[in-house]
Amino acid sequence: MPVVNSPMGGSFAFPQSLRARDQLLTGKTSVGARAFCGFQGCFFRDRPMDTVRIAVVGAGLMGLSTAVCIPTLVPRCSVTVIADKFTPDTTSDVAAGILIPHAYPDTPVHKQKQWFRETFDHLFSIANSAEAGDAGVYLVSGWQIFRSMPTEEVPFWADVVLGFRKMTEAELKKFPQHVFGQAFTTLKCEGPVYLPWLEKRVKRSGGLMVPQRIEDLWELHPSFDIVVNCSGLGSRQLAGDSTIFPVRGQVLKVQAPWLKHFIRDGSGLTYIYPGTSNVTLGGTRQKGDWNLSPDAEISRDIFSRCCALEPSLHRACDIREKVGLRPSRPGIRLQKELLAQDSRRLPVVHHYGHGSGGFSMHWGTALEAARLVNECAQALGSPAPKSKL
Amino acid sequence: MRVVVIGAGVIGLSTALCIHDRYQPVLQSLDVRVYADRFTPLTNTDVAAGLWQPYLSNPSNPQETHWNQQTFDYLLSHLHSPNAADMGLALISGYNLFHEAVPDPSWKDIVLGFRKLTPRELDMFPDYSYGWFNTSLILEGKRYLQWLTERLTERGVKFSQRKVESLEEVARGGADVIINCTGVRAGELQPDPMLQPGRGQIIKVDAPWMKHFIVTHDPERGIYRSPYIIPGIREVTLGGIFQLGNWSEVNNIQDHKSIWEGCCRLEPTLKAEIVSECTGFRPVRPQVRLERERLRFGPSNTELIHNYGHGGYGLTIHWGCALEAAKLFGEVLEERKLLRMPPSHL
Repeated sequence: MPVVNSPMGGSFAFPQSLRARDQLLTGKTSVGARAFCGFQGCFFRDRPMDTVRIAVVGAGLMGLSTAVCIPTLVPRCSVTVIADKFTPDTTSDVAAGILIPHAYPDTPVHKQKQWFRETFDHLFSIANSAEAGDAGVYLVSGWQIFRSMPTEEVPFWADVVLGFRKMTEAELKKFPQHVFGQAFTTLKCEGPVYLPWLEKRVKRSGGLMVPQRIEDLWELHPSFDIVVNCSGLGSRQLAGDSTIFPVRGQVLKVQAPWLKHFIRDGSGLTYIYPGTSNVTLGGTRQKGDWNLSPDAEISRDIFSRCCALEPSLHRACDIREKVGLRPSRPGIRLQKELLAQDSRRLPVVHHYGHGSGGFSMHWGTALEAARLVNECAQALGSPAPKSKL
Repeated sequence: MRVVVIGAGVIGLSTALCIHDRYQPVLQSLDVRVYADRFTPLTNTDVAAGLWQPYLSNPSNPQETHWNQQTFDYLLSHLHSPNAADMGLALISGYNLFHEAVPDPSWKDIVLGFRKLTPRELDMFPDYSYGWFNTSLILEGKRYLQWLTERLTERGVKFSQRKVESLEEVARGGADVIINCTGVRAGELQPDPMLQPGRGQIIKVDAPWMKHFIVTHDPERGIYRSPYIIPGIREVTLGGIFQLGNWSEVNNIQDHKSIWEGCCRLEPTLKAEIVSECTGFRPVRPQVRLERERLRFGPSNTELIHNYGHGGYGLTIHWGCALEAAKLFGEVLEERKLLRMPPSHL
């Protein structure tokens, strides 16, 4: 990376191909207007008694929702979202976005339920407002069906969704291979609409989007005071976390506008999620597979499994293949870490590892991440040096 | 044996199909024709939102409950085929909303998963305090008529666009049996003081995120006079107009406002693009007229089977009525000793 001498003295590594995603200088922080473009702003300020400069790494669902939450909790901050991929090219854009939680073995159930409830309630109020269409959030009803009796007939999230009940015999007739089912109403949150809506909210509160690939979190020092790591699978490199691994998901997006209900096989392998502009058919759960190219054989298999559940899909058209790598981990990592190198210190809040449950948990975990960021910000503000956060 | 079906709405076309499929195998000479002045997309069926849902109160003729059930079961059996979308048929769930607690409807066990609304669900609709949730069917009038037309054409049934001025004209033209499916304008062929138009106006919008129907009820205003939102295959129908005795085919601006304001109040997400607006006439009658009549013009008898007056529930009841009309037709054939063997049951 080229090193340049700035006119203000000192030097810093100037990232190549730097350009603000939003060319407008928003300059809207509580400390008056300032000329700020990318990382250069650091040279125009002293230590953070005024604005806490926060970098959010990652512009998927976690990065953007955390970037929205932070200004509501942290007084006097600036938020910059830095990522190599933005919507519609993130993993979050591939996901169907249906709110049916995934169970994390290493996260306590009461926490999962709290985060799911916070996310559901938050999205529910958007779904019932005039913003629903702009945010891509709406209600959808349907069925989760099982080929054999599940160990848990009533999951932990049953009272968070609406109208949860067992399917009747008459309803199960539609699925002759299945012996048990649950009927309920939940929410769908569409990545390609929701993410741009979140981006707008980030910008409206003064945040910046910077398209830039970060190879090492130290690149953000000393331009930023706190780093929020929402890089998903990128954390293998950026956080040295070997417990996060991809679970490859291939899906088909098809035109079948007559489908109004979701259908999910309890195994999580076969599902049909009707959306605003297409229906998502899935899927696969291939552990450790990094391949982002769609596989034709898999597409045929997905289509055939979904048609078996919903024969009218034979009339679906305009079939498109997509692949996403779920950032899977035994538990979601929501944790502060103080990076130290020589005399340099960099507070980091990790917020990643949601696997299949990103949409279901995102608002609850973003609020928690923002709380952790606030703790870091408070610690920065106090004059005594801190040995450990 | 020449059969003329007058009317090409859902009742005419489904009756024609039902009769053809049941009797053509046993009566080679069966010749079914459809006469109508209006075909899809200009019939009243084309205007209907297409939600399968009978009235809340029990019909005065208990047979109608049976015909409703037969229609639901028939449509449900077609859901599993790849043809469902071609027919304009899909499952749909949704909400019926009330200002106060009401008894369960007689059709609660016909639809799927019928239950009361929970308090959190009712929170979505602040003007209402009670309601139901159930899974029913959408049968889109326009798509279904196209599908029926294709099936009839395959079977060699002929269509003739003409304005029938009198039953006599059709009888003298050589019809042995006339099936009268003229809907709201049946009175033009034979006066019927019990038949009246129930004018409806609807707005179609593009709102593909809406996956549920929402039908509100106001007993003081009466059926269909309270806002309803019914998603179809591609568009969403907004309605809430029912005017007895009004024959105006023109879209009315007051009605437009009433529908739009009522539906937007009910569903705040409805910042949607208006695709079209149209008017239709429900053929309102205290009960469906489904019976035989014998006409005499000159020396010959012509059998007449009436099948009209289905109000706002034509799509809901159509197949049961078609089966009944076919049964009456069978009686005619037996009387004329035309049947060689009993007809197979559909």
